[in-house]
Amino acid sequence: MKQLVSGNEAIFQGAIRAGATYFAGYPITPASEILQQAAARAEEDPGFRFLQAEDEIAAAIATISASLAGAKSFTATSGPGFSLMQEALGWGHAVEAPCIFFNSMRVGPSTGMPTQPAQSDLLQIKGGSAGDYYPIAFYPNSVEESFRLMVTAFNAAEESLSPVIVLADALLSHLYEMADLDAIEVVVAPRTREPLGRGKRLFTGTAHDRMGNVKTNDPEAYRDWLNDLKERHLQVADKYPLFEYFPGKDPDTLLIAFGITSRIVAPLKERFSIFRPIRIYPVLEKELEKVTQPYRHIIVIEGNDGQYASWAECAISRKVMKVPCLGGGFKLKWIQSQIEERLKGR
Amino acid sequence: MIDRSYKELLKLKRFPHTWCPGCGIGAVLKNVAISLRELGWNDRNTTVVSGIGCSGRMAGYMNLDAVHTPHGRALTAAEAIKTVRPDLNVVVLSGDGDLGAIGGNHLLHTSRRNPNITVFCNDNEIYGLTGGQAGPTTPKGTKTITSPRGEIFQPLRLGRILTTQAPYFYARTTVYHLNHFKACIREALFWKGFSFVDIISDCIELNGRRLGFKTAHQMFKWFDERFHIVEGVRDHLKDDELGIAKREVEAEVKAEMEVEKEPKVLIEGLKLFTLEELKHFDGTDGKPIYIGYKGKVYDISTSPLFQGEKRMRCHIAGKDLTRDIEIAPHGEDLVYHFPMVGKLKVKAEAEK
Amino acid sequence: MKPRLNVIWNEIYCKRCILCVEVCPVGILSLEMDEIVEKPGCIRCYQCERYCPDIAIEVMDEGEKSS
Repeated sequence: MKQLVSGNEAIFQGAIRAGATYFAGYPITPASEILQQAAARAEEDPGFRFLQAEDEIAAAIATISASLAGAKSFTATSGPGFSLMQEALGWGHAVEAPCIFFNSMRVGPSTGMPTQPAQSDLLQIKGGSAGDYYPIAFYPNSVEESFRLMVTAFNAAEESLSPVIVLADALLSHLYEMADLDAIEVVVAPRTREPLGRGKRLFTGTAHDRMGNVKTNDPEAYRDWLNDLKERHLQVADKYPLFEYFPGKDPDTLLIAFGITSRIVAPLKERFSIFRPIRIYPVLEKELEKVTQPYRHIIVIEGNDGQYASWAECAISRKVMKVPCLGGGFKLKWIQSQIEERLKGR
Repeated sequence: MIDRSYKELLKLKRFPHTWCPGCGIGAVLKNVAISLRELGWNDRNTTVVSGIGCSGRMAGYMNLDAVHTPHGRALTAAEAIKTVRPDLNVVVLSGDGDLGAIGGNHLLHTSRRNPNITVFCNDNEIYGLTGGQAGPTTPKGTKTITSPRGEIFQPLRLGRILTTQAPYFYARTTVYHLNHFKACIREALFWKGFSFVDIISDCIELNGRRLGFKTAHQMFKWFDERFHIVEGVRDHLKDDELGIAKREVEAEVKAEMEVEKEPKVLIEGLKLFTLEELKHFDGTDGKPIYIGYKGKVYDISTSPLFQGEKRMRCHIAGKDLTRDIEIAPHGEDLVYHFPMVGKLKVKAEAEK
Repeated sequence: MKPRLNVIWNEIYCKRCILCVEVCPVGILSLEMDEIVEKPGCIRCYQCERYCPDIAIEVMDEGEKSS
């Protein structure tokens, strides 16, 4: 039966459908509802465990540790909390623990505008922790898709043995839409990591070789381990080349928008072509190159000052134009006028 | 004859271990392994978790599934593992800097939540791995490379922090008092709940030498001078005592003086309000704001919520709030701050 | 593992911290030429073994001694 479901509810239900049995979190707008739902679920389902941690650092560490212990686990936060989780994110990649980090973005930096939506944590997906790691990140744009992508993210996490990031924004988190989540059919991947208590393994954030032996002075062992990791992550990412593409009337201009922005610019579909990446990271290089090729003008519309635009520029080796929707100001009219301005005289 | 089967719990192929000659961490590792072995804990039912630092390397030498967390996060990781897998025995092996400084917040909150885990803290009063900087437990006046004139602050007293709220288990011992050390380990492993063993240990290379000791044994003798063992179970340990402080339930708190909540009626013959009449006093046109509560009427116009230009939308004015306040987060004492101006006529009474 | 009169000494594990030398109540152990040397007179108190942080020294069992 269809009923009104919010983005955060869909995220939580998606995790439950994927088999999640552990949640750790810390209250933060606009992701607190997920913590509340987890608390309620832990009350009625003894198989579901939840921890309201003392900070996001603890929440993220608990999520990863629970995954090592044998539970499908996830955490939910917003930008400032995600900053605190960066340390754990790097550790999660080092110990290869499948779990989900959900980040509902709000205007930053720091506390910023706690109730206003933004899309400004893209660089935090990849750049926040020390060293090289290759996270996979998805960004839905509707309540139903939030549900489906959450399951996809859990599957990708199990396959890549790493924390996978699901992004949303304050608007999407609190967006209510009609959806019938029970009717959505999904495929759920089984656990791939043997739980603790089954061997003599060492899960360490210190550099180690494939067998888990600490190797702090061995470039070759490190290289082997990191290349393995990279290859595995990129292979899994290739399994999910998710995007949407709507060709429009204007043969010259392509708009790139994702998440809630893609919903806001949807009325421009008649005129412009629109490309919506759903897998935000690793950047859809092949797909972007193919799609953008016939267009003279590429305009990236996003809730930050050009974070995805810079990735897109790298991917297609061309200049793109930017329409940064800053400070939570996502107004179609304003976006439209900005596009006109960019296209004037071209 | 001595039982040496504890060696099965150690990754001997990785020996000699990484610590300096005479370091106390080796003794902690060995004695924990001996105790685990005595209890029959093995790789099927036990997990060790450690943080970062010299002592954080202990987990890697245990022949068990081990988790080596980022700096300071061992307790959280251990708690999460215990939550998900109550069948596993979870042991934390870490150091004072890891647990007390960078992980201080987790120490406070994990101990408050009281998961059934055991923590062995190698307390060497210094940051050894990074070269001998002053740590959270470095005694006042100690010269280190970051306190060249002597540490100026009082040390963090783990024993006092951890014994503020029952249930708690805190033991202090040293690597020198071996029998006491082993007894503490065993007691801690048996304790149902969060148990913490503060093991005073020696860092001879990076702390001891600066203090004027030549060998680990001289530091041991110094521990013997500084501390003495106290027998029996205590509620708290003094700073120079070695022993066990534990308590299962909070001591009875003396019943506080019953605070008189009901305000005294100051005016005899209070005005009687019906619900209809009460509705008029909603703050509009300069009228006062009245609310009804438990048969009385209160004037809440002075509440800070209703002052100034942007005053709170007054949806509660002129209503009987008895039921609302019962379920509201702020209690009735909030209402009693305001002057009582009359009695409320309830329906039954009005009909009479 | 090098067997001696009463103790077995592991040259590889040992880091020469000389804790065993200092805790021995009868003083029969010593560090000479980078080796732990043992004199006769062991009273089998196991102190060296118990205190060794490196598991590098073991007191031989009664049976082992004769063999």
